[in-house]
Amino acid sequence: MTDCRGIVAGKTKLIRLESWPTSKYIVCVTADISDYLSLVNECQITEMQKAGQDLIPDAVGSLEVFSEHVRNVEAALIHTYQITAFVAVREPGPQHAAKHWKEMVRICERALTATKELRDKFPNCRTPELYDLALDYMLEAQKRFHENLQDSECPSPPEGLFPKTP
Amino acid sequence: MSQPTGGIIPEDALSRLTELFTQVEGASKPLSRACREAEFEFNSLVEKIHAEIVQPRFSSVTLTQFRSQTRRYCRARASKESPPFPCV
Repeated sequence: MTDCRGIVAGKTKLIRLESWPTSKYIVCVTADISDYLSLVNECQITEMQKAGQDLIPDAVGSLEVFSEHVRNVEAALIHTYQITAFVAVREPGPQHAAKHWKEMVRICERALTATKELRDKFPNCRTPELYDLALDYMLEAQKRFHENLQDSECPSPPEGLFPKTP
Repeated sequence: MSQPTGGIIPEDALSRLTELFTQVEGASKPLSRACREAEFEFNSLVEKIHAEIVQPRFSSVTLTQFRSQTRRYCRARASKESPPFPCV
């Protein structure tokens, strides 16, 4: 991940993302760990996309190189899902949990878009498996997002249905 | 089932629902059989309680509403009880 650099400056943090030498993005955010996680995930997916465009499947060593990118994105999705679940289940309010799941959906969608064409170009690098994983995780995250959204919009229960303080 | 504590739903049912909610929402492997089974049991228990306990007393509460209210209750309770770490 030599291309991605994060610069922290006080409470407001500047994140400078250089996906490759010709493209630079300056993002100004109030960053927390989730912002950095999103940044790292974005880099992994972007790097896989770039490798997919540049590498020729028949060239010596290209499958090994691309497989490594696929593995990185796969690991990022699995780990990000685990972190999202860990954080979401500890949120006392459903609206905050929904926000975490929405971000997970976004990451999966991003991975799906990136993998869609590459699974045909590199079918033997576990790219189809990565596509399936991103799809499965996206559906699970979407389900949790919608459930929590629905929970947050549901009217309060009538008096006497649940104990007052859990 | 044990006696209700401040509401009409028995404490052991609420405790089990919270446990199942935690297993589903906090699952590190959402495609696992354990997660699917926990989700199925949660929904089945919600349906059973709604039909047997809630409907006779609160007929205006729909199953969809009750499911969301139960999830909200379980979430609030789970966040206070601090769910176990995945490695535990």
